[in-house]
Amino acid sequence: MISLSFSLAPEALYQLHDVLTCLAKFHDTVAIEAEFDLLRLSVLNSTKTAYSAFVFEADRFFESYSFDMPRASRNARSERFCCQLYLKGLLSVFKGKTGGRDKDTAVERCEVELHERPDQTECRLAIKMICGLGVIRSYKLTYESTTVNHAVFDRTTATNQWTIEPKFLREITDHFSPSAEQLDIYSESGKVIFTSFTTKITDGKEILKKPVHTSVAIDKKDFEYFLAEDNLHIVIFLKDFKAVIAHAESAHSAITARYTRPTRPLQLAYDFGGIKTEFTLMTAGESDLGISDSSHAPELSARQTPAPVNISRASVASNTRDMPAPRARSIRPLTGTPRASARGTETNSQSQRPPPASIQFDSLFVPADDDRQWDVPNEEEEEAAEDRLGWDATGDQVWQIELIC
Amino acid sequence: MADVEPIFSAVSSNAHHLYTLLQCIGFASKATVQLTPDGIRFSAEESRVIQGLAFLDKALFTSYTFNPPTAPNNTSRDSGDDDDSSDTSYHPCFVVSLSALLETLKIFGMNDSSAAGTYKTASVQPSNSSSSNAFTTPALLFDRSCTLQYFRTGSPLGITLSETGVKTTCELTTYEPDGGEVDIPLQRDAIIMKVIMRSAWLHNAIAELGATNPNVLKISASATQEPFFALSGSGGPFSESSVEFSVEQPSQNNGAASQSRKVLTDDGTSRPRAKRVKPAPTVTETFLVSPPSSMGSRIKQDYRFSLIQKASRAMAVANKVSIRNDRQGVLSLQFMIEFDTHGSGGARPSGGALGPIVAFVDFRFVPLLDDEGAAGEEGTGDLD
Amino acid sequence: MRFRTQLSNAATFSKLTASLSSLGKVCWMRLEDGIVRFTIIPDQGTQVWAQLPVDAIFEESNYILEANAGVINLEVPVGALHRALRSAVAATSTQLRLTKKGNVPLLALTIHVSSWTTGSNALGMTDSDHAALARQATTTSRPGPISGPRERETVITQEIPVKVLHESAIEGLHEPRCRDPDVHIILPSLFQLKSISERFTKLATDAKGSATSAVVSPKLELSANMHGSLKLAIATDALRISSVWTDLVNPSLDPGQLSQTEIEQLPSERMRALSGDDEAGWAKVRIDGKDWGRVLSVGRLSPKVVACFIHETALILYVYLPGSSNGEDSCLTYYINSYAA
Repeated sequence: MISLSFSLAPEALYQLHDVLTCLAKFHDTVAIEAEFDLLRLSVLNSTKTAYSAFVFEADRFFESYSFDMPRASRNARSERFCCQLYLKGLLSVFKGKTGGRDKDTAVERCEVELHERPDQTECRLAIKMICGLGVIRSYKLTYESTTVNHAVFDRTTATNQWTIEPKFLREITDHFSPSAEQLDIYSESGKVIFTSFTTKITDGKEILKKPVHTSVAIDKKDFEYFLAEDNLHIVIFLKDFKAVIAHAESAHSAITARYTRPTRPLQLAYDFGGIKTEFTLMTAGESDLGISDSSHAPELSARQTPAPVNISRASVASNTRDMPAPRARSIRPLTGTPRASARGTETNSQSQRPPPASIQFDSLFVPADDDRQWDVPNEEEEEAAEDRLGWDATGDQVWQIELIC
Repeated sequence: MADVEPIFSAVSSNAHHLYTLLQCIGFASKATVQLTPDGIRFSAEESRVIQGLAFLDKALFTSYTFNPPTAPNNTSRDSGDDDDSSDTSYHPCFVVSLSALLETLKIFGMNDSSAAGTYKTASVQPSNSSSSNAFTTPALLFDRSCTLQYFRTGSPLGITLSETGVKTTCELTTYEPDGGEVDIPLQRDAIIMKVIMRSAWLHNAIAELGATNPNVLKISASATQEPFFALSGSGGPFSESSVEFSVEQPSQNNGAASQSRKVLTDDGTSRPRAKRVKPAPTVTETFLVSPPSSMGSRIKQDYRFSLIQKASRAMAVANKVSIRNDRQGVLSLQFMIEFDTHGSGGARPSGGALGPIVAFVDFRFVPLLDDEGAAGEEGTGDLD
Repeated sequence: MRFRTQLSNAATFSKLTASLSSLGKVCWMRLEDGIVRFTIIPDQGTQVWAQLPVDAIFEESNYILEANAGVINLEVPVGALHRALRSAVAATSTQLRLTKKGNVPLLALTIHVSSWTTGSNALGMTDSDHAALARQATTTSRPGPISGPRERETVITQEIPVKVLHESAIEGLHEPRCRDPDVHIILPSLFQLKSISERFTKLATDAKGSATSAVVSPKLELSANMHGSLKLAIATDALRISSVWTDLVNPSLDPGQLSQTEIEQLPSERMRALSGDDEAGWAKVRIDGKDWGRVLSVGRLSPKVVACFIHETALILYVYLPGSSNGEDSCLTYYINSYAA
């Protein structure tokens, strides 16, 4: 029997609520992974361009934490339990600071338990809020077992990095039109320029319906740390960026961004009070030139406003975004076995792969040429999977975002 | 007609009181109004499975005049005059648009933004009802009045709101009751459960359960076995949820915290659990459960959650609630709402004593299940 | 063609565009020497003709206008302009100019905002961390260490696509002409008037319930007399409701413009002669509740509003902005048609 139980103090409940609110901006289900010393909540959005994860440290975040997994269901690689839940259900349980309205029956402790027996078909997560004056609120949430993918991001190879208070970023995004979709970031001499734009295809006659371009330039001095190549344009979805800023602001944590170049992922991260966060976002931009990062920048940036450079590509990307997700809810392996995956799942993966044209602003997880990387081996076969599909096998292709299990 | 004194005329200097009470039953668009010497009774219902009743006691008004008409309108015209006309005085009854009445009352004091939200916030702060009018200072209420008038049978119900510089008059068309408004009967001699507690606890519980969108509210109560009193929601899309009112236990983990907490009884003394004769949930003031033998030791009854939610506004503004169940499963929620006289701009103190004015709003619900109880006498019910 | 200026009053400009955008999506903006005009002519509903002296919103000394006839006519998405102007409200300086990107003419705002920060290095990165990263990076545009409070400057550019209108496109557009009003009166607090109007509109909408007529916005009856009274009313099956304001001011007309005899012959003077409780002394219009609510959103500029009633025909509002040096020159004129009963 797998059993997971932990308890949370009121302060941690509020933090958990903030986390869930943030995750819900990316997708409607969350994956929960329990390990012996941590609990991870992660969400991969439906277009697979954004992966968000919060890791709660067992001994710092929780009042008590215990996770037990019988030997039989373990293997060398993974000693963890994975399941997924609807965020809406979780949010309704952990919603708001209801304790604020009347102190007498405020939540004093929250206990969460999950027991999975092989013979049980119904999967329930039991949550109990022990409140003042003997009031006990309890909830049972249905979960599904699943396997979980993590986005790969190698911080050591990120050549660009900056750190800034989220407040400054929020002040920037406040200037953007609410309907703006994308965000271009680049630096130029002492300034860092954030430009919001939308790449709607507009009829030539309808000039007045063209979206407003907004760019905001702040000083590099506003960053706690800034080290990035000048004139390197990187484009992400504004909505994702805003979701991260909002949470970082509530957590009072400075955000660090790391990236290499367009079409490779950008990661936003910050840690606080026993919680580690990371948001891995796919980027677009003037990319794929195959040139080393330093040579092309000057002439391209000449005196162009940043956005137009990216319009054609990004517009394709926004189409991508509208594509139905291959699987709206669960992130499951495509195929039964890693071996079969190389060839045997052509049809399946075909349907999941976005049209080639959209590669520029692509999924985090769909490499153009190697759909083996889609595959998430089943737990029992993980060991074998590692042998054949190990990290090192793709080591020379670090720029391709992969899933690890 | 102008010379004749109206059947009914009442002046309030605080339309917010009237609004607060009437919005409790604002789930229906129309309400049946009955004028009586002691106050005005507003009742609203829906499909005969939920009924809400708000009584505007005459103590809520600075002046209250009721001249009961001496004969029903149909007899006044064609019946043979005189006789015992003085004995046939009756209490006029008519239907008005409740939503229009509420909207009209909202116009009153629309310029002071703080006043409107006052009651909501005050209610869930259970301990000090007297501070609930802190923002509605009497100074703001000078030069203001709200007058209700009903001239004669068939007249519209007139509401006049006067404020500095502007006077608003609303005439609500009165309709004849279609006779279908039958009270949901509560069998007062067959009450099998009675729980009195702060309304805020019930409000919070229903709000919590409501977050998971259940279809059905289950009430479960037992005098002998845990859980003594529990509300649960089922049929929601994501989860099942329940709120249990248990006996607060000092646990090993945070014993210190629990022990320092005291439950105040009405006389202000603390009530440690050990001294209770019978086990009862810590939040309840009264906890009586006596199921008929056919039920065993536990009362279980189901109601449509969406109906119970219609009483949310009453739960939010009331100080206390009495939750009763009769043998047929009819659920009665009776809410006691206290208005502080300090902020009411000179409302007449009831019974000569200064203090809060107490008003009541009642709800009745028909249970789910096939067991559609009939009969039973009408009960008005009080918190006793 | 050249237009460039510096904003002198971004708050007023922003509120003005907000009020205009509630009535129409596009606005005809006419830049002239000394005067800026904004006109909204929706397909249906109220027209606005606004005229402001340049210095009401721009710095006159920085107002550069070069064009063939001394006039530039633009079609502007007024909602987008308003959104963009919000960035300018707290700015230290804002430049507005007409420019072009590709084939698209733009109104470009360049906004400088200063703020004060207590800057600190919250991450606590050490110098060796910096150095380690610096080695990996291809460029070393690394800022100096941050400490202590300092002023920070943000530069915001907002580019709003506009259309330059040829003179021929606008020569058919003229401000409506109306006969002399029957009643003119200064409106009470627009906030109160708007709240009550909206409540009435809601009452009438609710009363219709689920009926298919819900699409049709209820019509409010607005009437006034020359004895300081204004009345707002609506009636449905379920209710009749009215609010009456009293002791309002019926402004006198400028004696400089009209001779004494001319004044005496004005309809409003005939109305004034009637007694205060004479029904005939009231001029009435029926206006669309929702449109009226949008018109009253001009209250955010806290103006003085004179309402001119042309009985059963039209309502004209003269909205005078406060604070500008030559007050009465800044005027927004709203033309509201009366619906037939």
